[in-house]
Formats: sequence, C-alpha cells, structure tokens
Amino acid sequence: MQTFKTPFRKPEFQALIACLAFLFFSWPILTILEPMRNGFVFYYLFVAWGVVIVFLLLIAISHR
Amino acid sequence: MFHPLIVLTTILLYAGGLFLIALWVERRAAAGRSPANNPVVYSLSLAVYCTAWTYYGSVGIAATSGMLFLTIYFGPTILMVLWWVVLRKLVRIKHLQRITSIADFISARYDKSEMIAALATLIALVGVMPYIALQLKAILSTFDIITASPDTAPGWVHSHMGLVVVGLMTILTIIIGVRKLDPYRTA
Repeated sequence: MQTFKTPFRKPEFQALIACLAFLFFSWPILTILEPMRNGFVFYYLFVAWGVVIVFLLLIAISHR
Repeated sequence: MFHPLIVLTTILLYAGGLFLIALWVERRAAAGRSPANNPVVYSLSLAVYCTAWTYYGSVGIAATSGMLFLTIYFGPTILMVLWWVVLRKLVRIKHLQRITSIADFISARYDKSEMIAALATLIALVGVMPYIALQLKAILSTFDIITASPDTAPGWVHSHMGLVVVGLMTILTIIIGVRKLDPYRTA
C-alpha cells in the first residue's frame, strides 16, 4: 500500500498530473477530437474530468 | 406566483437555519468534536464556488456557447491537484504571520508594508464590487420572477427587497464571519 501511495504524495507527480490535465482540456487535443463521431467530445470531456477527480481522490488518500 | 412576504419569510428562515448550523459547529468545535473537520463536509462545502449568479451565468453561457461553460469548472478541478503543495504552504504562512486577509498576505511578502496592504485592499474592493453587485442582481431577479403577479401592485417588501437582502447579508457576514477574525490568534 505504501508503495502505491508514494508517487501520489510527490509534488512533482502532482505537477505532472496538473500539466497533463491542462493538456487534455485544451488545444490541440480537443481540435483533433472534434471532427470525430458526433458528440464524442462531450463524452471525452466528462470522462477526462472523471479521471482527474479520481487522481484527486488518490492524492488525498496518499496523504492519510 | 408566491407572495413577497412568503418568499421573504423563507429567506429569513433559511438564513436563520444557516446561523444555527454555524453556531452548532462552533460549539462542537470548542468541545474538540468539530463536524467541519471531516472530508465529506469539506468536499460538500466546496459547493460555495457556485454563487447565486452561477444559476444565471452558467446556464446563460451553456445556452449561448455550448460546452464552453465547462471550462469554469475544469480550471478549479485541475488546480485542486496542486492544492496539497500550494494550499498547505498558504495555510502555513497564514498561521505563522497571523494573516486574516488577502491584503495582509500580500503585504507580508513586502515586510508588512502598510502602503502595499492599503493598495491591495483598494484593488480588492474595486475588483469585488461588480461581483457582489452581480450576486445581488441574481437574488433580486429571482425574487422578481417568483413573486411576479400581473394582478397586484408591488408592495413595500417588493420595492425594498434590495435593501432587505443587503442588510441581511451584512448581518450574517458580521455574526458568522467577521466577529471570528482574530489577528492575534496563532492557529
């Protein structure tokens, strides 16, 4: 369990997650996804948002 | 639609309920059993991010710009990832320097300069005024919508609702928030 918690506690890892999240919600990812199947961006945004929230939960658990 | 007095009574009961909850939490915290010191309560309390204007602003942006309104929520969610680094540091500095406001915080960086504190207060005041005005506009617009009646002329409550809301908000801010500020408190 401790091995699982260690990376999430590191500020560098948290900064990486924040940078990746910014990338997932901005250009060029959204521009690439837009011409795909109708409504795909809608599902993509909510799933990506959910993934960020799961990471938030894991980071919070790692600080317990 | 609803009678203005019924709406006003509901607002007063809601504000009274909030005050009672705050009082209960304060007493429990003094006894060392704070219900606020709980991850679920903390997470739910983050809903304060959604202000009265959010009901109009977010829905308006969603109607005119589609999914663009989601950015209002993506930004804070992503920044929360860095809270463990940034927020902890802020809280530590706050306790150490006995900071109670953003002006204190900024001036602490410049050797507690009173000039910087005054400037920060002025900028915050000018910056926050339109935002507070927007909240009041949202409350008053809602009041107008739910009390609208073509048959009756607007009464005293209806025409003085703005003053009532401002008074109520001022009283609540003083009894729940400002009276707790203690620049000499260390924790």
